Amino acid sequence: MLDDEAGLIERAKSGDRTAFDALVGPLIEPGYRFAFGMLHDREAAEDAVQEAAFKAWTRLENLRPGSSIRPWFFGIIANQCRSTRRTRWWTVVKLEAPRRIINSPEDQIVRGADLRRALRRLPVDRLEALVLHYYLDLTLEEVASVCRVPVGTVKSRIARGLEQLRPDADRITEAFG
Amino acid sequence: MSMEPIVHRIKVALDVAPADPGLRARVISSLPLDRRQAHRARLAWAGPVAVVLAVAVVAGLISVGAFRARAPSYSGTVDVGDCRLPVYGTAKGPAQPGPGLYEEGFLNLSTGEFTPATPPSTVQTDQVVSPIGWFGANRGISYDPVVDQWLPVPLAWIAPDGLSYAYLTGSVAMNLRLRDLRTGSDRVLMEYRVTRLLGWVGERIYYVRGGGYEVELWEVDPKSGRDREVSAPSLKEWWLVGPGSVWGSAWYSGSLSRYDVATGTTDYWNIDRILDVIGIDSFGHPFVLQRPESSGSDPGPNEGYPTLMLAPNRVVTISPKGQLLPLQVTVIPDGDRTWFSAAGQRIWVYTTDKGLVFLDESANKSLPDGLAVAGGCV
Repeated sequence: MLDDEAGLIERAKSGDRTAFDALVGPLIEPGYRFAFGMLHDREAAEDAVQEAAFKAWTRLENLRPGSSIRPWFFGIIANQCRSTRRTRWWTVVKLEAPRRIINSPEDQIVRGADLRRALRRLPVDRLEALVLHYYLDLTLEEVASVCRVPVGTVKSRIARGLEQLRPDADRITEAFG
Repeated sequence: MSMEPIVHRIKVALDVAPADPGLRARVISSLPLDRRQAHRARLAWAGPVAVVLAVAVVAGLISVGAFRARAPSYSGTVDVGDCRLPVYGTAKGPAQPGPGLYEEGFLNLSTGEFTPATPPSTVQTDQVVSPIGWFGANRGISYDPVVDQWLPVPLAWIAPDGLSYAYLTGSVAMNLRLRDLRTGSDRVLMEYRVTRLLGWVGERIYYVRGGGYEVELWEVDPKSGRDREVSAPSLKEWWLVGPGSVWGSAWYSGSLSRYDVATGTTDYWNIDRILDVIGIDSFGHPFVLQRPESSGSDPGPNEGYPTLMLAPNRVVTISPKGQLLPLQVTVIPDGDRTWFSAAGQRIWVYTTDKGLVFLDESANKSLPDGLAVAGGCV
């Protein structure tokens, strides 16, 4: 952990919101991407990040001295996403407003839809490890820190997740080359 | 397959809904000034609110029996009669089976014999694009009894009158075409617009445009050629058609989306531990695979418990012995029966009173394994 980060954490603990912004602000966008990878829903992902930021702000004392803010904050988001996935059925469905089509390459869109479907079927711990490692480019050690499991367990989850995705990915390859 | 392509695809598949640039400012500005006070205030409310919510949820679940996958008392076997079931399997040539080459025929349920179609039929499935077949054993081969032909498309792509079928050509933004089985004529309905063809509901064809964050459900009237968007762009994916409805999933665990073509409305059918929707019965009820209860760490890789949803919160277990079904299963509704088949496995048949049973046990015959069902019994 950088000295600057330690200082910012101390200032944030004393109630300095600017210091908290300097710490957590840069993690909001990757945190949102992580939450989206877990939930596949824009509003739910934003809500998860908002709630995680609130918990981080009000529970800074739980951050152990010498710990880095990033894995701790992502760990809170991970818990929030798990909670959201468990309780989603309870949520009132919101009406969706028409939105502009994003100019993504169409072949990627077509393949992406089915891979997302396959990702959604993964057990949450495997999905979490895959999203953190391959989508957010966290190291295995960082993923282990977020998930609070040994690095070996992370490797196993990633390997099993990829193994589970492989048949679907092969089918997509077969269909589109 | 090496790791790189799939890692790249994961990134691409998830990179569809960029963060709102104002999210950081919104999140930080929403934080309470006094963080300790805010935490205490929330804790003070948490207890009573949790108690009230728990009581309400329990009362609600008891009253509607929500999410309880009830298992009716199934027993016995299904009376399958003496009809012929259209099936297909990988064609065995003198050398290796050709990729995408299948042999079609009929399984006589009274004798247990497989009779190849006459004249011999080997449908080459790569002649048309069948994306809906990626996730099912049905690679897009169906038997159309109206014209007595084997067609290289999923059953849902054949018109209800059996006299024409829709299909796709192209690679990405695909062309939707319609072939008339009486005259052999063929015409383009849509050019370069279709990302997924779902099939017919009544006299209209439903398909998907766009993708990623902006999935649109469209319908086209093949007679006039007029099409219209029927569901606003969203993250919902649309996967299947059934009687009167188009079915999709609202993107992560918890519910299916049902677009009612008569009313033009979408409602949501909630189900716990959903793995995927695999098919629709003749009455418009979705078959769903559910994760095992202890799915947290090590469930079967691509299989789940089959259930039938009778209403938004009403689920029944259809497997009397609790067996798992693979995700790559083909579901063929056939009146009050539904056929299930998967690559390399025995065929199942489901009825409401007997549940899901192996066809060979009901037929009391030894039947060939690995055949996929291509249509209703004839």
